[in-house]
Amino acid sequence: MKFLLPLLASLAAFFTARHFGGIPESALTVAPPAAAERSELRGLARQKDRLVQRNCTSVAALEKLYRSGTLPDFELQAALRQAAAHDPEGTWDWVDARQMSPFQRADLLRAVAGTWFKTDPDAVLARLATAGYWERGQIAGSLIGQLMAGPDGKIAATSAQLDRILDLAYIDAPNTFQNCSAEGAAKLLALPAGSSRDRLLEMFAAVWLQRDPAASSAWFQQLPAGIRNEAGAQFAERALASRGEGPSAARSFAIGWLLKDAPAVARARLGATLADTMAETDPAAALKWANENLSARPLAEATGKVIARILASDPEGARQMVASLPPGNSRNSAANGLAGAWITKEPAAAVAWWLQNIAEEVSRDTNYGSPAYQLGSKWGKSDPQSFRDYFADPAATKLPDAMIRSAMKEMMANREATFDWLATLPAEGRGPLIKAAYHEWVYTAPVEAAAAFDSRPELANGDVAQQVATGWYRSDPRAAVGWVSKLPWGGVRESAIAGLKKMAERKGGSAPEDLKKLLP
Amino acid sequence: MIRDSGEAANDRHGAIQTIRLSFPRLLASGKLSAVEAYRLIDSAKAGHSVLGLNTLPQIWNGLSADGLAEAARSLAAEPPGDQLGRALGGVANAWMKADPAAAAAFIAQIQDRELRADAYAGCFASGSGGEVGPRAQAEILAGIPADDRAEVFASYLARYGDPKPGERNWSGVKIDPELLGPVFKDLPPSPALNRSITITTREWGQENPAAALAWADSLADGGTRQAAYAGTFEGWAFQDPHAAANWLADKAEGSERDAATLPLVRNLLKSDAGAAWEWSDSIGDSALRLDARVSTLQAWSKRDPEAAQAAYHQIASTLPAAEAAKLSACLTGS
Repeated sequence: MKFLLPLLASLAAFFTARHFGGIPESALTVAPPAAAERSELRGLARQKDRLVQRNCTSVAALEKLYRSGTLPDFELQAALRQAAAHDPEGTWDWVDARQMSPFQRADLLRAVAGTWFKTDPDAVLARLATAGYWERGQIAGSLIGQLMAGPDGKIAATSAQLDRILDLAYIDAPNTFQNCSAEGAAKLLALPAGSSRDRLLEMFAAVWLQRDPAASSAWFQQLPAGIRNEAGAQFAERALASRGEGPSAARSFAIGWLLKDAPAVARARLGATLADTMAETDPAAALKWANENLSARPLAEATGKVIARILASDPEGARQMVASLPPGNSRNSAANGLAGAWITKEPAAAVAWWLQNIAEEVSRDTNYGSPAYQLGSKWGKSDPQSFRDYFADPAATKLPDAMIRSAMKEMMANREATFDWLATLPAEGRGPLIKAAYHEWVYTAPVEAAAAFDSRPELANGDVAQQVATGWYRSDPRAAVGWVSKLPWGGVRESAIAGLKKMAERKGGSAPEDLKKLLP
Repeated sequence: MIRDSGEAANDRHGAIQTIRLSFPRLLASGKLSAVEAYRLIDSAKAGHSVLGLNTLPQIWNGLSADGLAEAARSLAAEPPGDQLGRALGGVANAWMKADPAAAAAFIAQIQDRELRADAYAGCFASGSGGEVGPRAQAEILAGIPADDRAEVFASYLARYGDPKPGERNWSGVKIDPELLGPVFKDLPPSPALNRSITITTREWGQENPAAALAWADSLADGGTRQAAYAGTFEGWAFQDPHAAANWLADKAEGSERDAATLPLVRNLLKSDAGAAWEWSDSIGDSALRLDARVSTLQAWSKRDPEAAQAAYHQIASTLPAAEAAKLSACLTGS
């Protein structure tokens, strides 16, 4: 997994550069070359000069240039800007009509939009609104980048236009605000006043605080209360989540702000994370703070997080703390968290303890992602042998269905061994386990599931035959009917046919002809 | 392709993409009228209207303010249909951005209440995909006339179903009670307002019950206040039934206390049916009290039938015959 973070960071940087950056317009502008006095032009300057000579002032000229050979993207963008300055709509149409990758298309349309916006912002926004989600998000993001660049960006918007752009764009704040400084703040404040500017200010303040609280805190404190509170909450959430990756000064500032200055709503929203952070050094103080300052769900979450930290150094003490909590979601959350951490070490003991300490309705929750499902998944993945051993004890407490289902899903990674183990169990007790083994498989790979059923006649029964047949029928009714038609005569086959009949009735209309032949 | 798209999942995806990319331009160029677009998409009836759900709110952005006005007028004149509200909501969304005053005036005079609420509710879609955030949601609501506001919010919420306390992976409307509280504060009483307030305070009760109760007490209408108490306790008692019970023990008898006690009972009975039974007794309103007793006996008789029987027999002789029969049925499971 070590490679994943740098890889993702590189990808993010790449797409951000595309989204908000591209080739700086100032480097490719149509203006007379500033480097004219140089006797020998190089690199971008030489290419810029070449482009100026081409005088791409119409769509026809653009087309001619395009057909003249392979142009690098940045030259094409510069040519597009030249053409768009004279005929923006025609230039947009020209890009629209080309076959190209979505990335290249968005790059080129961004160049056109930036130029068009200078002369007719409403027209470009109307045209932008007809583009697909992704494309318009990219282009709108680029316009925001230009607007925030200040006078150098050479575009300006009214408050309503800014609202429209923000409505269309997705803003990734840390990547958008690369340059956080008093100068950047002043450029933002120069945008037309309104809720969109305030939103940008909040995002900017949150990013600046995270990067450099010492430089930004005085400016942050003088923001209007509404903006300050929202920015502080955004910042504190990010700073506390960074877990030592960001500057420690930012985390200290976030903790101080939440303890002293944050409004109650932000304290409630981030209280569990704050308590968790405090518990890194002093769990008892964290728990005391949570009990004095939080209630309901924030208190439940804070309690769960702090107890999970205590578990590492004092497992028995943590378990006693959970058991002493009053019934309710606070206790259920804490028990779920504790069992989740414990189950990878001593699964059977963790599950037995969990079943004693949570409300019955929690253990009965059969949904995907329920606590029982998550615990089962961890158990099946981390220690399949202990899961098998659990069923060797006839007196063991019955496990929740969701736990069996998710554990068996993990165990099916080693399919033959799992089938071999199931075959050793008494026939009367293994039914739910076999059913769980097939539960998701019949939807994700029905052909394989059917083949497995055929290959293990000692595990076959009517319930599983029906499970395979109905699961398969959802995606491929003919194949499912064909499979059932080949099952040997008897109860297993009849059960599968009954399942198909039910499925056909549920779907409505008349049953497929192949199925009608099987029905009595 | 559109008509067939209801039948096969793969074609349906293709149809959605095609419509999203081509219809905005066809509409903007006048090659397709709003009504034609709506009727064409609406004609794909199969597949649980997936096609309309994924396209009708989003294809109108290319129209000018005049074009949107014409689209709204022509769609509002169409006969009722499952997808009509969605189409008109999409037009309203785009029109509110192009010419908010004209759009708001038009929506306010739509006679059909449901269609009017759908038109307003369409404005909650974000231009970059998905729904607008809580702040924009509150701003849009605040701009809707007071008589329609609660109906609009209830209609909007109905698209996603009720978020239950503690529900994981809730992907519906994000509810921020601190922002919504002022928006609902002085609205005229109505069932839609009660529903909006119950859902909002249910979230508030999970997050910050003290603030929710302070807000509930500030409401002028008694029925609305009861809805706020009920919602707050649905959330709070789910998270921490004992803290909720402690607070309610000091509350004077009355309709708010009754409204709060029913959800308290339903959460207490998960761990302590005896306490839930005692709390049921304290409800003054006979219908709510019966509801609370039924819920408690049903759960209690499964876990400890003897204790449930004993509790029932202790009060049976004091009950009206119909009530006794209903409670007795809980014990036998019939």
